[in-house]
Amino acid sequence: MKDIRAKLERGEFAEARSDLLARLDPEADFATQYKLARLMRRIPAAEFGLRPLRVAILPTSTVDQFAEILRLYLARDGFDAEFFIAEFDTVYQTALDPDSALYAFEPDLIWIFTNHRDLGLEPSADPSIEAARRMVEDAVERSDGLVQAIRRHSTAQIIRNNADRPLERVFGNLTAAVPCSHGALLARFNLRLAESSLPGTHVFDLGYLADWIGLGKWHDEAYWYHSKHAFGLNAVGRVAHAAARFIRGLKGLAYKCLVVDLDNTLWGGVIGDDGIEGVRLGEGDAEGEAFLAFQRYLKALKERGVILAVCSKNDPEIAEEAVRDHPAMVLTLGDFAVFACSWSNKADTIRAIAEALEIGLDSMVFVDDNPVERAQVRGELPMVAVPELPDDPALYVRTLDGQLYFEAAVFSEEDKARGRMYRDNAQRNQWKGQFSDIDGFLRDLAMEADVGDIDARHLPRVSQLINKSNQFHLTTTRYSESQLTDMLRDPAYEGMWFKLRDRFGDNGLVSAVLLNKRDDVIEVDTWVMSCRVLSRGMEDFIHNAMVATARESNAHVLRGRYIPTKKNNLVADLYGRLGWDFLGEDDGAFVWELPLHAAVLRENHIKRAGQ
Amino acid sequence: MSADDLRAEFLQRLNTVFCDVFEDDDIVITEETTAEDIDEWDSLMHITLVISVESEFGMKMKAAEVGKLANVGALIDILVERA
Repeated sequence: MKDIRAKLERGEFAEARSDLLARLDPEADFATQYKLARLMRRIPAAEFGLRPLRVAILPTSTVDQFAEILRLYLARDGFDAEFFIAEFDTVYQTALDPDSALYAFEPDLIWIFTNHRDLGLEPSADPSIEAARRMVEDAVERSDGLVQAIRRHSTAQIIRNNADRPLERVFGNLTAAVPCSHGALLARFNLRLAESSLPGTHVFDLGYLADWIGLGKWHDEAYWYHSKHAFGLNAVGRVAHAAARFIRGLKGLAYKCLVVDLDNTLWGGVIGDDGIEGVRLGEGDAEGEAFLAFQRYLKALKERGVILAVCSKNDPEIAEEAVRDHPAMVLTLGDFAVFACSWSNKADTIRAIAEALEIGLDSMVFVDDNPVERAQVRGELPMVAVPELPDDPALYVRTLDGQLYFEAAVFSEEDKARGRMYRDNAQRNQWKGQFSDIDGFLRDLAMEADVGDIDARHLPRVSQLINKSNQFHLTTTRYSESQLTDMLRDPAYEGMWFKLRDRFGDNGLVSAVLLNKRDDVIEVDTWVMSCRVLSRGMEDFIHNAMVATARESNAHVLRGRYIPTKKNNLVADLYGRLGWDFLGEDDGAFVWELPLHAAVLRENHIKRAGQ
Repeated sequence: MSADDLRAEFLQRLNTVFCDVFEDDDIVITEETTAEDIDEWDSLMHITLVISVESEFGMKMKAAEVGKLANVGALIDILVERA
């Protein structure tokens, strides 16, 4: 947090804001939320186009700390909030008085902030179900009456809370079965409140949040008795997060479109390398089931009107085939309004998707397992929501759902038809070539590559990479560990591995090259690379390493072959891109050469480790 | 560790919490410091302060204790008692 403060002091507000947003965590304790809230206050709202929002809270508990944190989360979601908080426990007086400070404040939003204690639902002497119904109807009528009283003096949107569950249960497991128990009354109240639809009035699901936090933590008696805080202050972040997303939805600014990656996001593994049989998706395997569950969740989002789109670095034919033909796929090609597979950078692709769908970038969410892709999109398109994704796909649903991106004021018929509507409008794969600052991004990645000879220690991974790679594999070779060992004993062969690190972590051994020297020609027998690090300059770095090695061995020319397969179209023009000369076809292979006297080292943003 | 050392260590840790909460790195507290001595220490900030102390020391105040902290020394009394 010290670095954020330093940036604020230097007036670097954009950096400070993006650091601060990265630090936001609804689950963090109150002290952390509070510090971040104070820092956020120092960032000028106007510079980031935050919309002014006047929020009035009529509370039956102490909400000052909550409002402070809510202001923070509203700033995240695009609002510059100003608060009016009515005096503690003066809800009715304030609402009924046309001259009250509430109406003078001219709020955009009025929040009647109650909790389970003040609904007048104390267990009655009459235990009958009729008596329970009557009590609940009375409570809902009181709440409706208050809303109508406010409506006479204000056109603000109104939010009211449903009830959180109390911790104590006098009836224990009988609670739900005994109509006049506190718990049963509150459960009935929540159902009835949801049904009572007054115009411009919305229910905030406080009960769900209490359950989410866990009632044992939610209730904090010390602070209730000392200062009338209705819930534990360490739950404040979660409530503020949920409230800010809710308010964003009420103001019609909800996210509309969910853009997903494919490999390791919708299934485990890389379709271009592992093939339909190799990716993990489906029953009978823990990871496969987790991906299946995530797909089901996405399907349900689509059914409720969220537009789905794909943005993946893949060969479009291979990816479409996988979605169409994998037996366990839940999502179909028809579920996606746009299916964008290409090797260009993802920010550009997302921009093109937004244009094709004619929706704003600020209504898009991008889900990708790869932290580098996430950072690139965040850096280029700060208005796109890019949630952090955990390593474990079992947690994908929880993570995405917990972001509450798709809050909305209503659920309508149009919502249900939306996905198809957008798909019909979108013209697939018509990307306009807007170029983002990819150089700047690559520089920021602080990449560092390591090169070494293939030795016994690296043999297993090199062999795995050669035998698994289909997409970035120029010559289709397959070598077992023992074959490799034999080859590398032969002085005519030289093997190199490449590892890549960046500021997000270690990508490990990502590429291997086998060179075969014949007289003064060095032929690239094998060149494989993990597609995860594609388009980051690694190809250029490896080109330079090959040139250096070839020069050391006094060769005159480097020769590369490309043997086309169904899957390796990605590298069809690799040597051409690197500046090698095309010689012609030879027995089904395309042959390229690089005369070493004329070879130019290629610029890239990768530092050699230790240099 | 002697009782005095413990109090001194707690005072130091509390000082960091105070600087964080009141956003002022120059605050120096003693056992005698009260709400009167720090401009922003009102009843609202008091809650924030106490919650932050609870987080720092991994403990919970009793309902009655939250409001009855006459000065920093009284706060340390409670921390020592729970340590």
